[in-house]
Amino acid sequence: MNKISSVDICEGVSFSHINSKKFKNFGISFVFFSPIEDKLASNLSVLISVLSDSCEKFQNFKDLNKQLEEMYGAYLDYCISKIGNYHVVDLSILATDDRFTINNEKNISKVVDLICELIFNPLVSNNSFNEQIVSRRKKEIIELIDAQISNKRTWSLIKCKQNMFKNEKCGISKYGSKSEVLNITGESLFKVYKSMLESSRVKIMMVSSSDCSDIVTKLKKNFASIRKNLSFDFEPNKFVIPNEAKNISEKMKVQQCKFVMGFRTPFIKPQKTHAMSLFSAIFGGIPTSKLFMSVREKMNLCYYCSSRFDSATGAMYVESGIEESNFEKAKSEILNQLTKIQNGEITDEEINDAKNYLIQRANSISDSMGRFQDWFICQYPFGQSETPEEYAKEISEISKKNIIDCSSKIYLDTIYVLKKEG
Amino acid sequence: MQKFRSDFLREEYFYLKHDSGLSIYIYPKKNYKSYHAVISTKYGSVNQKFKLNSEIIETPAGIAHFLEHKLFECQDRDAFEMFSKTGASANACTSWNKTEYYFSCSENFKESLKILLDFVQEPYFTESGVNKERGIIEQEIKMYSDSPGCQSNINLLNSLYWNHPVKEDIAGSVESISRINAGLLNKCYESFYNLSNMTLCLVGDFNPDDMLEFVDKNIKKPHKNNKVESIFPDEPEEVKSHFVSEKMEVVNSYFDLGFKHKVSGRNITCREFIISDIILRIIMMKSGKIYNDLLDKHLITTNSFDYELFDGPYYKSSIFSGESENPEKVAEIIKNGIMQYRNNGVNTEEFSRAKKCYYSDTISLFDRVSSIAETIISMDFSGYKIFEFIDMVSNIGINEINEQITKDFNENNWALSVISKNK
Repeated sequence: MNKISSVDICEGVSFSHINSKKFKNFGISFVFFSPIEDKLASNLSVLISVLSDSCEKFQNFKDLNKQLEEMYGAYLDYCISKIGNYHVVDLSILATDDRFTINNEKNISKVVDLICELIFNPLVSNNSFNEQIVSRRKKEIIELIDAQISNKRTWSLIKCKQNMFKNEKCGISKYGSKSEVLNITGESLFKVYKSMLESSRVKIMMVSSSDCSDIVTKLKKNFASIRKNLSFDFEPNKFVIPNEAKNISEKMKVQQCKFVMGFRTPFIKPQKTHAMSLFSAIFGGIPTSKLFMSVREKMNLCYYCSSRFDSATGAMYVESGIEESNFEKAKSEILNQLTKIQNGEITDEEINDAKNYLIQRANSISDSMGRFQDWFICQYPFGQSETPEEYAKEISEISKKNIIDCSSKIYLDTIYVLKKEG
Repeated sequence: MQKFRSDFLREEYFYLKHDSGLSIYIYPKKNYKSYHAVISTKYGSVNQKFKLNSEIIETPAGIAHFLEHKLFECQDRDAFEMFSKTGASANACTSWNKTEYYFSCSENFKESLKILLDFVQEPYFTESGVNKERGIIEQEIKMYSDSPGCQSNINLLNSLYWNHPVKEDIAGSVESISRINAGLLNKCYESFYNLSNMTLCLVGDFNPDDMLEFVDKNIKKPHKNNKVESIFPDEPEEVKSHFVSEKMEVVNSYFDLGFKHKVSGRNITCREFIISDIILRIIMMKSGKIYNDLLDKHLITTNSFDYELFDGPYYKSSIFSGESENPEKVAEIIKNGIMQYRNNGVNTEEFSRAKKCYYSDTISLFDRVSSIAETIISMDFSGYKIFEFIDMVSNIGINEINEQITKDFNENNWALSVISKNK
């Protein structure tokens, strides 16, 4: 077991360090959580991209990257996501641990200093980010928005979610809209930056072989001068039973028809959601799931037919790609498999297989720096910090009755179908 | 078993050429809870035509991938079902030059390893099974046809190569897979799933001797002396065409710019592989001129650009891919930038930074059990061993880089593939 220690830097800012000599790299991530609001998604997306571009010390992309390359090709990345009703943006660096530099160079402290420069000393003048950089990064986010349509499987999932959560906060796109991105200026972005540092909830995660007391001191010093009181509490997504399933379809020039069925469930974090996760694994989450064995292996209708459960919103999605003429057949088989579980048609073998699969995946999480960090980051908005071992124990104790109970609280909300044009 | 150790990396592994012909790598990874096992054959989509003993056999495109799908089916039950009992996550992958079967787990490693070794050694192909799978693979082919990135890459290879089967889609086409039957699959299996054509790699926290003993007990097939030789057509040095385009449902255009390199043997050497990789890093360094020129002109974004060295039996090329409003302009800037390196040579600072990046990416491979196994297998198929990389990179000189750029890039050996928006 890796040793995890957590320290509160100030109210709403927490630092967790996983001390491990397992890896040849080390990693540090600054993760910012903000409640979903209109227009904030686009601003935060452009902001995190701008922060990864340059800073006061390295004033352009080229110089910053020269520095990163000198630090053993330190890999700087940003990520934009949503967890339930929260926007999540993070800036992270993965780089060679001190034990593996060629001439015993101290890489960790240099890299930590650099990421602190990017976050706390960005390139700003007269309370505004550099317009040229903002413009370039706006284009980058617009391209991410545009690129969503290129991957038809992802596109279908996005469209299903958008229609399902049309009037709810979690329905807001993680990148925001193109028109909102276009309205952003260097000045407006600086206000968002200040507010993010002052009042968003922040989780800083680090995995390294070194002591981190210097880093804690540094973080405390940096946050002390800018931090204001938190202005929000985390609010979970609300569960509503849909009146009737919505059917949405779209036509494009594609070779294959794709569809996504979105279901709502009341299993939403911070409540217990593990039994629902196990249900989803049995239903369509593993290679011997009910959907894989029936829709693909028995009926040979598709290459993929799977389910995924999002515990932050309580939604479960079933996705598949098929010949359009087989859509009704596939849809009714998916619903038929759900009814079967609701009627108790589920074997101990199926339950044990799915438990075994989930438990083994949880056991291996500490072998991946990225997955280990993500594990805790996903729980942070809900004030939880369950370890993979605790999760595995909970999964092992779920009964058949728990699973059947879950299956009876699953409500079809939206079906999105991407059809062939012409 | 032969032991290989790197004191600098603090890593070691064991290698044995088993009596059956199977190459076995056993890589203990202390304090890891995960295990990873891969068995791979040097049989991919490019091995379409071959000589088995004295018979010449030509097979339809996509057969290696079809065989991979069908090998999971055993006489009494599916291999996936058996893995589900041990809790392992199993899968397989066919590429241009190899087919791999693998699993990851954190418990019951030996039980899962037995399943892997058993199903790979016991094919069960039936006509009804083949017919059933055809529909599934057709949907897989259609799924990839809707991906602009995949389509752009396939079109590029079709423009770079005249005859080499690397130009064909790994999964074949709906038409080509209609010509596959159980008899043909058996013939390909007998030819390429000979253990002397295969490599096994195990990574995890275990006792290597114990593992070797277990593997030895589970190798059933006596070594058959089937003589198989893949036949590759003559391939001109020139590219087939400089430009290809297709329309799809996209907003920005997708592009792949490829440079076809001359190959002198079946595989490039370990040294050439490292040199060519460092060259690509220099060309596309984020602090470099070409990359910043493309960014400043708003032709690419940091999220939408990538490059790779693409090599295998009798093919080698460098590919730059991404999304852009103006792929032709991107191609022009890259081509001009490369010609400047060719004419003026590489700057020593850039060279030193690229080496550092190469070094750190290479040692990163040792942080994951799956990447260790995948890298060991890829290197074994090209004839080299994993620690050689780290040792070799330090003594590569700038002159070798400049010589290789001159060999690999010229004004004519390129092709550009574009997927643009439907009007």
